[in-house]
Amino acid sequence: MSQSPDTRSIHVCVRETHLSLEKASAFVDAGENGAALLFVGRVRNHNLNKPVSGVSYDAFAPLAETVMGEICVEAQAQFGPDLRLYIEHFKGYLPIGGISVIIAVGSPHRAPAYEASRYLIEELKKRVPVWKKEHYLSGDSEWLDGTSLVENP
Amino acid sequence: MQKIELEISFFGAFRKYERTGPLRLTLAAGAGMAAVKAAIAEALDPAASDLLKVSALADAQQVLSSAHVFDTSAQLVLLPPVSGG
Repeated sequence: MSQSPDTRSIHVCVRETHLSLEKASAFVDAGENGAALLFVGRVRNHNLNKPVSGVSYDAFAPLAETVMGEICVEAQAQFGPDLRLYIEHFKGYLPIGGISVIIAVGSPHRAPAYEASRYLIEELKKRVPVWKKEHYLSGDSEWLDGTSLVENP
Repeated sequence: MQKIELEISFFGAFRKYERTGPLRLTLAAGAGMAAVKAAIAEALDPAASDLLKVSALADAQQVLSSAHVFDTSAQLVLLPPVSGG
């Protein structure tokens, strides 16, 4: 049984409204922290040489939030129990430049902040039940390939 | 033999198969993952079979392992390979 996230130092959410950089910064700020790191995922206007007009994100929110919490607990175990961690992922349609994910890390020192931030985004992309459908300027759209959650697929 | 009912919701690339709500399957209690996936495959377009092979079944708490045995009726989700971020 995995450990439940401590909501005083971990915040995770799948949101269908605008993701706030200000709220992310405020959550990870603390007097004992000398570092705050913000990773912002945005919709870009191209992928694999195709011009993109926007992206629709689908998510199974209950499990997505559970897995994001597990990843945060793992990051605290690996990089420091004093880390403050924040992950929000968007669900719905975003135009170019829209914010799809925010990962914020607060830490007494910079090295664990960089390590934890990288760990959170890489694990999120492999494990969290979220899907991306790209819309192209041509009018076509397609669900992107991803990482299977089946063991030994 | 006791029967169970599985209600399966679709996400991502499977959304297009959810025409009138979740897929409802009636199976024998004790069915394994392979039997459940075979029943899903039968209900879907044959073109979905490759995606189904690499897709996982889950409930609201966890992704179910390939050794999972379905003893009771349940609400499940079918999760294609993930691509968030």
